[in-house]
Amino acid sequence: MTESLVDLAESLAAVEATRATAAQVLREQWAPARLRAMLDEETPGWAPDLWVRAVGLGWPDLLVAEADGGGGGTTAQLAGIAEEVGRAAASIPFVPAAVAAWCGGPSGPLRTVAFSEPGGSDDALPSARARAAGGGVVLTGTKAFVPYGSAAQSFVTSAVREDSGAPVLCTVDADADGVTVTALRALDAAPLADVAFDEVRVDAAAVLVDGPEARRILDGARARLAVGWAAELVGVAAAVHDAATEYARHRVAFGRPIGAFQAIKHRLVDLRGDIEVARALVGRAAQAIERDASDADAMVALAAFWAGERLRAVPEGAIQVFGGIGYTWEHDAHLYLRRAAVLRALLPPPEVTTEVALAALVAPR
Amino acid sequence: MDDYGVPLGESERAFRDEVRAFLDRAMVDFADRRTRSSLDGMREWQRRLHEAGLATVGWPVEFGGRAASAVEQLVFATEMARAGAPEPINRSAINQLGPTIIQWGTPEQQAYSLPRILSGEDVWCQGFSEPDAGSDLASLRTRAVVDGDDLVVNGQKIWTSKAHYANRIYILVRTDPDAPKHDGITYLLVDLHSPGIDIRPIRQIAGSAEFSEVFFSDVRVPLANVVGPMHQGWRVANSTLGYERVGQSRTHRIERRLGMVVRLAAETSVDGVPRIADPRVRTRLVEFAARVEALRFIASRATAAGVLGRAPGPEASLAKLLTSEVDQEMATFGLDLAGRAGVLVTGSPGAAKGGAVAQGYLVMRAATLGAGTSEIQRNVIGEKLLGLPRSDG
Ligand SMILES: Cc1cc2nc3c(=O)[nH]c(=O)nc-3n(C[C@H](O)[C@H](O)[C@H](O)COP(=O)(O)OP(=O)(O)OC[C@H]3O[C@@H](n4cnc5c(N)ncnc54)[C@H](O)[C@@H]3O)c2cc1C
Repeated sequence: MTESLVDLAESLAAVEATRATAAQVLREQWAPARLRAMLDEETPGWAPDLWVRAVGLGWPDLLVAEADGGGGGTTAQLAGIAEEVGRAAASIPFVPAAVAAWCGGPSGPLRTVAFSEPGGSDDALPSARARAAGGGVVLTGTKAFVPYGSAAQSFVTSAVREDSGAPVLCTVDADADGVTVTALRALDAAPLADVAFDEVRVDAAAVLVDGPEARRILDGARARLAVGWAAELVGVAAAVHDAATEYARHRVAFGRPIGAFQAIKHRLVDLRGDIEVARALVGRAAQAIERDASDADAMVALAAFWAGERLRAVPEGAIQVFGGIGYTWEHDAHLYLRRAAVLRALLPPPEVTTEVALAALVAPR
Repeated sequence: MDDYGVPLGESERAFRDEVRAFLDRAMVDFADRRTRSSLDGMREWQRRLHEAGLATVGWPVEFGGRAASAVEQLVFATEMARAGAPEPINRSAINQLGPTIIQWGTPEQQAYSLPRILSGEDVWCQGFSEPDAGSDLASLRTRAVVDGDDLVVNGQKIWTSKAHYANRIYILVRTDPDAPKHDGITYLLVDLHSPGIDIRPIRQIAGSAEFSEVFFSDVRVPLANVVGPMHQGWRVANSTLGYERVGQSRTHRIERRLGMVVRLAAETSVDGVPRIADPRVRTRLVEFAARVEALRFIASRATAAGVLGRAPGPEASLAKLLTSEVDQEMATFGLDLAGRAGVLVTGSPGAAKGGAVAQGYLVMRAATLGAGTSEIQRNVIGEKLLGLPRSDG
């Protein structure tokens, strides 16, 4: 075997090892029934105990370079863990925390990313403003639909400098003066929030990147976020698809297992095809990000587009296969349906991904 | 562009350079599209590949191949596709029959047939399907009875591609009518010029006659031409069908067709508005691009798995179904994009892409029929990959 193939083998093995560990931890410490219980609570819910374990395993710092005290992991490993989190329907902030750490270095208490803005497609420059003050900035603006926004103790957020018009990324504590966190209630009980910054003072040490480099980091963070969410959605879809397939093997109607009816069998095959396409696109996008390839944006857009447009239909189809039992509170199918719907909303919208993908498609090669 | 989706080592780069050098030399006479797709052109192409030792890079060395690694095979297929190289006339025999004979054949069969496949001296066609045995292939009825050192064959094959110019045919015959239907079948190599064989071409959807009915009446075939054990032909046939799995060539074909529909969308307009400005068109194009890109990645991952000595992932078994369906859908969408010009055929003024759009629309109906219909593929995937119960019992 050549040198480069050894590399390839090692990177594939690394992803598989990461996934296997993740799957085991999640099996030990999480069950979808916990998500069901959270849905009955007044307030949003998540799993701090599981997160403590994940932090202990270094998950949030996966993407931070080893030299900086992180795991030195790849985007493919990020996707591997995210897929397992989705498969378990676990309520932990793995994807946004890992991306926040990629921007801002190793984590302490829970930190998430606050990039998206009301009505915004997330793809443009932020409309939040940063005014120079001392060595730092003063921040004003509103961030919407922030994942784990009502649970996080700090945010990595984006704004545009009033003086230069260039983006800036900084860390803001949730309890800083001028920060208002409005908790949202989502289909899957996730602690989403809108976060408003009103003249929030950010000192120099909390400004992560500034100047031309900030745009690159912001785009890189959004790309990793999209791949992470898409991977989590792949896991959600794969889990509920497996369950429906298993059910179709045994549930009998008209004297035969329902999986023998082609309407059921072919539906399951087609949904599996959609999942495999999504998984391949996530892998391809992760690879492109890692190599800093010129087509990385387009590949991320394809992955986000396909996962968002196709995978929510997997729990929908699974519920059809389950029949009446799939419509009950006690069955897990709706947990996956809910999680899939929320993940789809976290992905960049198809209007945006279509344009990014098409730009690459029609560009002269 | 060197990106094959997998990294190349030194010997693989050397191999790539050899293939490129061959293409630079050999493609000179094949600039014309008509030459590339003509029978004589395909025959000549095979001769040149053979001369250069490139007719079958994947076969073992003792049978005239080069035991190319999976990566080298990927390099070979990619370079051929990029250069727009013609198909060798015996491609299906190289990909399917040859490996079957290597796996199941006698030393005599191997020594006689394999070199003749590579040189193109023998051109083979596949006689599996019958009028009453297509998807349900095992219900085939063509009979063969032992008489001395021969089998005597009676019956009919149909949809036999290439029978009108091939000189050899491999067929499945029923040798034990009393056994359960999968157990009484034998795999047989037949000279298509044998007395008692009658070939009647059938015109296809687009007008040309590229498959045939093949009738057998008292055709004598030496018992030495049985491949694998008597009555065990079903297993042998499954090897052949297994080698029909998705090849790189299909991936390149859908990449080319994606480029074609994107160009069509950019070049055509309605009332002055380019079709590519229509959001519905944009969405369809991105859906196609997503599938094509995923299939490309799946194919290169399968190659990488092969290199690393692992089994390809489950996604590989879905690839044929997904590839043929996206290919067909893109051809149909091409017709839509071309609008009125799309339904005009070669020779007509104003025909889109000189009639290729209309032609592509017709011939791509075959994508979901040949080599296992899409329904049969879904059954097989449902049963083998998802572990669902059989539909017929
Ligand atoms: C262009 C072309 C080239 C070909 N070349 C060759 C060749 O070289 N050699 C050769 O041997 N054959 C060849 N074939 C034949 C091909 O393999 C058969 O057409 C194919 O297997 C289908 O068989 P059939 O035509 O008898 O259709 P049928 O089996 O009668 O099928 C008709 C329809 O019923 C559906 N159907 C059948 N069974 C089921 C089921 N269990 N569940 C759900 N749906 C089902 C099918 O999917 C299809 O839609 C070729 C076909 C084409 C189109």
